[in-house]
Amino acid sequence: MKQFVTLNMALKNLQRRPVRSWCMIFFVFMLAASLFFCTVLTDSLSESLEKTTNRMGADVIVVPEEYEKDMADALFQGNISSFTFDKQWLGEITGVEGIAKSSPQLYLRTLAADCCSTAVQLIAFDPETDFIITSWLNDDGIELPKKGEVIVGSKITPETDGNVIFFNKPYKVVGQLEETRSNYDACVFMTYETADEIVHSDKWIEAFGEAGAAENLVSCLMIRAEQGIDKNDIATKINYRLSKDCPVRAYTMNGLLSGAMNTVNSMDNYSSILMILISILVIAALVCIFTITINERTKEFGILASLGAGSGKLAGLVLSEGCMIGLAGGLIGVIFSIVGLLIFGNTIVVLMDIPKLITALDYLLILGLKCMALALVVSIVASLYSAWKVSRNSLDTLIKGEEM
Amino acid sequence: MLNVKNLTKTFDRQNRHFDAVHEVNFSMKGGDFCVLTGPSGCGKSTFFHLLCGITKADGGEVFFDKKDICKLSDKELAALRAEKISYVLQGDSLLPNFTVLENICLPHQLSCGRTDLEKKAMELLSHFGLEAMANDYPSNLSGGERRRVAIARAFVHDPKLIIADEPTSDLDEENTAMIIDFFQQQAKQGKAILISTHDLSCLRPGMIRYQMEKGCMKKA
Repeated sequence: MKQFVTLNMALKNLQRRPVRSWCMIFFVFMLAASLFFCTVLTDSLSESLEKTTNRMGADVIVVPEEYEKDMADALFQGNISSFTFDKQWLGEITGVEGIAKSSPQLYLRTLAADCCSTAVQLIAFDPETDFIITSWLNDDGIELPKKGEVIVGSKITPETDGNVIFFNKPYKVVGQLEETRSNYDACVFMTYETADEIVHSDKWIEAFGEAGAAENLVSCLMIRAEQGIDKNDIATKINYRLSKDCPVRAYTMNGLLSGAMNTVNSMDNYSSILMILISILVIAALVCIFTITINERTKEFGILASLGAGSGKLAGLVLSEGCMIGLAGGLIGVIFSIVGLLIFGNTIVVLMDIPKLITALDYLLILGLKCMALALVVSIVASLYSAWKVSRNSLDTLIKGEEM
Repeated sequence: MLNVKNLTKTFDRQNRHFDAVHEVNFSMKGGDFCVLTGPSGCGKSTFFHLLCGITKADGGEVFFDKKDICKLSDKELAALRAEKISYVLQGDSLLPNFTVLENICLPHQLSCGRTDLEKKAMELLSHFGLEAMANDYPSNLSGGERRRVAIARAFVHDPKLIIADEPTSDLDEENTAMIIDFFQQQAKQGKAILISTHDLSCLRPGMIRYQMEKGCMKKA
């Protein structure tokens, strides 16, 4: 009990001045909530980017030059698209030194219409050469899909009969991949044979026009470099080999996602600057409120001093009030942000046009603790000046209630 | 108990030195009830501040329990005020954010860690007829009631010396009598009481009266 007397007195002081206290708590709340939300936003973008790059497992990717952004958006943002180029162009790539594996993939899109269960990205792969999707299937213990069968990402919900319908035809879902928190969670995977069936369905032709045999269509060629070979070198060599009228270009994975990476880095920088500015503003606002308040309360400190409270205890009282403001503002800010993210996460994703937000509770709790720590530090820093003034002033000044 | 020798405090006012307290000699022992009278600005409050160690003296010595308090550190002076010398400030000296009972107990908990004062505080409130107001805030109390609470706070931790700066100013006769009676009763129990007042009507037999004028003090 003895050791809590300072905290008890500080709490009562705050409770008896609710308007002032809530004003200060509001400033700290704004800081904690802004920091929390900005961090979740930038971390979510970084995580999406990292997971996409890691999950991909390819070092170099060959895509149609004009669809480079579509490909990046499909990988990172989850935008669905269909784009192809003729397989014959891949002939110019064969023989480039340093390529360990290469495999084509075909990106098709479905429609948000009655003919399809849902509008998703279809990714067709060649099981004979594939080194990406087959490894995911192996990891999750899923068999290779046969013709007419598909594997779905964790976010795709099959119809009640265990099928998904694309362009009026049902496809049997033979497996569902585990959640990766990347955009692949919302994709459907199939072999080229199944994709061939889709591009020759009446509804597909009605929507997108005639296509050639799927086996001759490629959206991208995934390339894994031999160990020790620089992936930039491979991309450069491929591009050197490709003739000028060739519609495709090779990009390293980082190069392809460089736009997104730059965006994430910029956001990270902007949010850091924003946080520093907000912290300075909050400190300045709290310093002003504390200083005004302390000057109004000079007589109170004088009374306590006349009853034997030393300068350290008076300073401790002011600091305790600062701590409580910081903890209350930080806690309210963090709880408000977590609840807001959990309730409005999907709306925020749509409104801000971002791939996804991290809503894992352990991440949010750890981040919450960090934000509360910052809120606490900011409040303590803001109250330090007042605490110092109270402790340094002569008792005479305090007792007379003169301005410090 | 208290022995003051040649105590002097000088202030600068409009580039001029003046002695607010000039070579004052004074002493009192347990059971003494001393009253200091004098016009406003004669140095009574400054003298009290010097005795409590709130203001540092420019000359002289103040011995309390054979220790020169002028030589004590700020921390030691704070401990002295917390335990042995109680000072009742002039005017309203209650903390507005605390209830009557908290006003009496919490400052002592803060300064010297005493957590056993609640019972004694209720006894004092009862003596002053304020027990029903223990959980009221000072804003709900009249001036006389606040003054009584401040006095209860000064006595609750059982100090040796109580110094009260004009404890009866602006009070009606009934409140004044109640406070003076209480001081007399405490003096009889061995405490040393030193108060200042303008109101000569509150003087009673057995009080030791001192007169202060322009910083100089003499027995009246």
